[in-house]
Amino acid sequence: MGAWDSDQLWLKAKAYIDKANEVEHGDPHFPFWSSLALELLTRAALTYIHPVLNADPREDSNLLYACGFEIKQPRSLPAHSVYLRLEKTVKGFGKAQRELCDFLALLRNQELHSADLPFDNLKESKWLPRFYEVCMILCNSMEKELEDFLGNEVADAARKLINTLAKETEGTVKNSIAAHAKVFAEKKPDDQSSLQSNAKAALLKLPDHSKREVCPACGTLGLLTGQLIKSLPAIYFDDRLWTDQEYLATEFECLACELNLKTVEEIIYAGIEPRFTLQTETSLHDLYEPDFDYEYDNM
Amino acid sequence: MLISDIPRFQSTLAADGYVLERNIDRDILLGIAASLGPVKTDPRHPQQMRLIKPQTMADAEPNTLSSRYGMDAFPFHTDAAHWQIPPNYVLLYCVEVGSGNRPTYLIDSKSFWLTQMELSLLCNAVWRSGHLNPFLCTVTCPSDSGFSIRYDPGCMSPRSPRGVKAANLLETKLNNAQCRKIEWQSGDLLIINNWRVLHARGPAERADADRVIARILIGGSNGCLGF
Repeated sequence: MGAWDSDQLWLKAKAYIDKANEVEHGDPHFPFWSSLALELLTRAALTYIHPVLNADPREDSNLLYACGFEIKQPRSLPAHSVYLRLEKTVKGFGKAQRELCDFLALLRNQELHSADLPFDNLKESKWLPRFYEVCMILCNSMEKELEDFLGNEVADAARKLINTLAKETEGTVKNSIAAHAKVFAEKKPDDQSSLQSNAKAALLKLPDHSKREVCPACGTLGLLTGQLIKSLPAIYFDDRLWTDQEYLATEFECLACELNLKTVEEIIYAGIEPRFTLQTETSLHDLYEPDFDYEYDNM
Repeated sequence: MLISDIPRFQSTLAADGYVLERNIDRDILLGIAASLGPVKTDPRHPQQMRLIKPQTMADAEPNTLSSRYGMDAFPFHTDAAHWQIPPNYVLLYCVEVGSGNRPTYLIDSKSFWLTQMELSLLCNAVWRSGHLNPFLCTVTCPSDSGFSIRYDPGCMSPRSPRGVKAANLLETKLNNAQCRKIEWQSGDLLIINNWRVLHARGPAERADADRVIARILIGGSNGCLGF
């Protein structure tokens, strides 16, 4: 039996994370499948050290199974204990990483064992950067790269989110927001209104890959620009093809108070959700019946 | 061919991924096989040298290529891709050409000329293999010589969107790859590096239940996953 084979657990974790990445990031199935993938990944990392670490020690037979003996229905270690063991055995896997694993395991149990909907309304900023960091640590512990687990496209965005965990950025961003809020608050009410209406007018038409977002300093709608992560399969509705495109936010600019956040790390610390979805539509008529052009005839 | 010729064909096998020798005496097949590694058998057919013939769908055992394709051509595949580790070499010996003059085709996976991104996709996309005891696998694995391949659309299916992408890529590579046609004569011996070269049974001119190929599987593991 290969139930505790590290390679098989690794492959199953990858199949699950692929399922997570198949759905839109705001869909509660994204964190749900991610949480299942994470448990498999943690067990892959533990059994990579030795399968016996995955055995529930309360029964000898489980240890024998881990040593290659044929035992029916072996019991593996509860997830919480897996994380405790990783904290003691895997470099870089500390308290913060264990707490993230416990947090997602808790939500998963709530999802599976109750009528609650714990993954609905779960903000990515609450778990995703740390989740990707845990994945990277576990991959590295098995001499693999984050790209091997997530695929090149998602791993690229994931690395950017991991960088948000750097604490010093947080302080700088908070100070900048406070400073811009103070300067804006000290302006005359008429000047404030004028700046806000000008900013609003400037964003009547949005540039590509961007959306409006409330400025964390002055409350005016600012411009959030992003980088395309992936396009989801097109859906046909009302004679048109609708496509959801997911973006990773890369810059925020407020035209009223002039707050400017230049990286995804700064955007996260400002309390803005780092990913957003834009919907594009294509008319089937435009797609299949391009405008007719007369041939040049020199007349 | 004599046993003393073995080093010569082994070097051709290493260079090209397969070797074809004519007029081979059937009695030395197991000796040649043993020079390449341990002979492995399928639990359903414990004989070391198995005689295989085209079969109709009705006559074929379940979960075999014959049960899906009957007397038609087979797609390109790795032999025993449902084993935990497929056989390293497959030795095919023509006992009877058969009335259908059915060829065998070979494609060397080295001729795919995979980019780093393509290889990364094939090495990471998850597939399921096997029917009764399914397990997860990838189509390629990094190896000392670049990568090894495992592919059989009869028993493998993509398990994720990345797997579907990998399947499409592989089909494109197979459609564009250069293919070697083996036109069998009685006494021909074809040895295939099963981790590198995919093979396919071609179509027959007429129903050819009289075609007989002796097959020996060398290396690999059809047992359970061990620790």
